[in-house]
Amino acid sequence: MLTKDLIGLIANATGLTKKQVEELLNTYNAILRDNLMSGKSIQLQGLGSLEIKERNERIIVHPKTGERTLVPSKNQLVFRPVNNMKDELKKL
Amino acid sequence: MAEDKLSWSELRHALAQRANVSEKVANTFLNAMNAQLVEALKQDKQVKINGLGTFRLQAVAPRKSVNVTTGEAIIIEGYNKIAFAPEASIKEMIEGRNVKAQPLSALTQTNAETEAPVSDGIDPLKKLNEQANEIIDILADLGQAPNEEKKKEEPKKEEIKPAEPVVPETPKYEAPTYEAPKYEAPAYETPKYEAPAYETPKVEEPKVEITSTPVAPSTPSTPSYQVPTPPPAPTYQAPAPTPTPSYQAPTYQAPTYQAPTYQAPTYQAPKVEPAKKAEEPKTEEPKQESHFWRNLFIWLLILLLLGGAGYYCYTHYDLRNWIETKFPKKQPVKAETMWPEVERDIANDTIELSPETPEKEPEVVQEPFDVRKYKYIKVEPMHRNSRLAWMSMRYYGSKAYWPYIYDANRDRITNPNDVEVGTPIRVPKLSRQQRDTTIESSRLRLQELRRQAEAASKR
Repeated sequence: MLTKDLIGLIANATGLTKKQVEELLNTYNAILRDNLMSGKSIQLQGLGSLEIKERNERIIVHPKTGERTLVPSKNQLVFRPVNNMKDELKKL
Repeated sequence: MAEDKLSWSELRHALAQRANVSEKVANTFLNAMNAQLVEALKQDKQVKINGLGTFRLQAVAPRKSVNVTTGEAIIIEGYNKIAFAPEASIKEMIEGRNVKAQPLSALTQTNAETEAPVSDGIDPLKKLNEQANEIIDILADLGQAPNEEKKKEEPKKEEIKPAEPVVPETPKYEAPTYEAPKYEAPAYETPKYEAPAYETPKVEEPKVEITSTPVAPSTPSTPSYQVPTPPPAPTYQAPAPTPTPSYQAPTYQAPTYQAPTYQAPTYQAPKVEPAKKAEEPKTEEPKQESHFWRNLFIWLLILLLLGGAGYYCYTHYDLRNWIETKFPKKQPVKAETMWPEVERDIANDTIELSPETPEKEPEVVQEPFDVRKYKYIKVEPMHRNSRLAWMSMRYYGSKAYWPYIYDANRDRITNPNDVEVGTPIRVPKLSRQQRDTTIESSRLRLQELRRQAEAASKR
């Protein structure tokens, strides 16, 4: 499902126009992005949380050549769903 | 990283402020959004939000597992996992730096270069200089261009490798100075090839032929053949000899030109050892080889002669008889002593057995038939190709008990060797005592019955 369809669904559910919803969504995304960049984790009620996790640097061995390469540490965006949501979607 | 959390209310507040909307609207939007997201996930299993990323339902396959406490095998059922993949732009922003993965060797090398001079200080530098000087000297001897700068910069491990070849090279250069006079001596070989062998034939052959060709046709043609035919004959003969010397001459001259080429390596040789070494063994090896092969050949001949002589003796004289007469009369003696013992035993046995049987045969008295003598397992009709012995084999595990069956069926069987097909035969039940032939009484009983049965068959 694409953003368009989601916007349509939200508009139907809330009674707002699609334009309004689109604007709201864009600002919502911008807020999330800014907060994430400043190092904050975000809790979305009924959905889960978006966190930034630090991955350690590690050594990879190329299976054919045996060359060892160092993968530098990096930050990763991780989504942790709430248990309710998890259970709801476990069985479909 | 995530010390601070952006709570739901804060998010709502921020959204309302930025979008210039009341908090109520923001709240409804956020709730609706979450709810719709879940719904959308349920429907399509994948929701893509521009500017954020995609939420996806990943199916996890069912798998086998073991209950840790009981050890039973369990099947963990499959389920859906929620996966979130952030958009590429966000991912890059969060990862911050675009550092590519470097090969580890490159990193360690840079480290080693920086660390080495700091830790070891002066000694390694001195060593490096000395080694570099040595290398330069050697290179100067060789006449090659020295590369000082590169070798100074190289780390230790790489410098040890060039140092190793340096040691063997120095003796190489000392040796040729002593060996040089030795190799001047073989220079005598070259004049041998030049002066006597090849030059003389050259001079002789062309001269003789050239002189002979004019003389030969002139002398024989004039006296022997006075007929007009002779003139063509010498003309044909003349061209034939002339080409042959001309072709032979260059072939003999060629080795003379090759000889100087052999001299050339002898002068170049002092620089490189292996060439000389190769020459040395050539002179020595053939002698050794010739001796070795000669000796081998002689030994083989001796062996062959010995073998032939042996074979001749073996075929023409009775060596085997001779050997037997001389040495091995003990073995046949043993065999002779072994045989008579056995013969005596058999003789004794036969002698003991033979008088008993003839005495008892006339005594055989058939016992009266009594049905109550035995308990019966089964009544079985006689099969076409069956016998009493086989029946006993089937029921008792051995052929030896067939007389019991005969004894149980005396009323129906007249001749135990020839029972009519289809006669119902009672199979008696034998006790363990009766079956056990190690007990004397039971064995004697069996013999009795057998004798009676045989007597019945002879009637």
